[in-house]
Amino acid sequence: MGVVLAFTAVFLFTIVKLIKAKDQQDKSIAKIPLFSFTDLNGESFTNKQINTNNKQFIINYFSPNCEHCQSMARLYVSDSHKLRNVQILMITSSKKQLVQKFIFDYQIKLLPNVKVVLDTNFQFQQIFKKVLTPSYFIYEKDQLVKQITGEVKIDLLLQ
Amino acid sequence: MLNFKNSNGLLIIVGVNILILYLYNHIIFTDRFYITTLSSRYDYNKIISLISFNRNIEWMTYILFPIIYILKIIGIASIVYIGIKFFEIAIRLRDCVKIIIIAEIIPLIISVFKILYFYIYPPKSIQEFQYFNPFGLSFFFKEEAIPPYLIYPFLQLNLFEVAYWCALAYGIKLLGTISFKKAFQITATGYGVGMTIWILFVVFLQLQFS
Repeated sequence: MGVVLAFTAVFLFTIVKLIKAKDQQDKSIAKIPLFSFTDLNGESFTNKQINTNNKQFIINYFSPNCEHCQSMARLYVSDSHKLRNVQILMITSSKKQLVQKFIFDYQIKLLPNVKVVLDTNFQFQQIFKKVLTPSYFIYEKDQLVKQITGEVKIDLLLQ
Repeated sequence: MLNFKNSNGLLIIVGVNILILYLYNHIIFTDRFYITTLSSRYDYNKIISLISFNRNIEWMTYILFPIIYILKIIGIASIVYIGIKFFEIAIRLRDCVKIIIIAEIIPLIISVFKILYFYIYPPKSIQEFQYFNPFGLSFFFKEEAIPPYLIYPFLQLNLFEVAYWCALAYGIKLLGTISFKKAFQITATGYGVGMTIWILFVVFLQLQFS
């Protein structure tokens, strides 16, 4: 019985720690966090380069091999008229060659307000604590309004 | 009341649960339900392909479910048995399985109630179905007011869970020829502690992987 109580106490302690870490994590991304990624030309792209005139700023963590990310890329192009006032930052930890092929295959270059960057230092997971693709963090006026994981309609992203 | 073979009891309880699962899949979670609830998130073709995939693998649920359910019954019986042994009552493990089989009638009643309710008032979302808990603490709170990792513990706090505890205690009372009060203490020691640890484990997993 003592062992069970000790086990339960350890579990409870771990849960409380996880809850505190989660609250801290939520606070740290409530506003657009500090970041620095590398674009495909090797130049750095930081949070200071975000255009705050846009209605929304969407951070999209993706992988070129992810089928749902590929579907979303097709939606970006087909529904590009809905994304006129939105800035999308597509971030991936994948290799540059794969990303370049992805951009070519899904015509991402046709979208002037979509920027693709490489997370060579695996910063994204440290800042946002997300690994699933596609993941979306939607900011309006520097405030996080929504987090979505998985494939969705563009309308749901912009709601 | 407890005069039946475990194998017969398991066959009946598993069979009824499979029937309920079939009714869920064909009365509540119909194609129309998925199209209505998922249309805001996915386009029509995507929804149709999801439905088709779901229907193709449906047969697997009818094979996996009995295995998981029987393991659940044996697991709960083992935990109750530990509680019984702690109090040095002479009840065998196979008799604990009998007690659990009888007590599992209570979740069956909830399932039947849910099917009837959602047949009359179709759910607007999967969350509405999952969150439905009419005799529970969560009924008094909006889903948005509860942190996601606390939803599962909240759902366990309901009158049917109390009835389940009472059913277990009554079974232990009958087989152990002890008072109901002592039987309830045994239930709290075995099943209560086991359930607490299980809930903490689920909360831990949700926090870790959300």
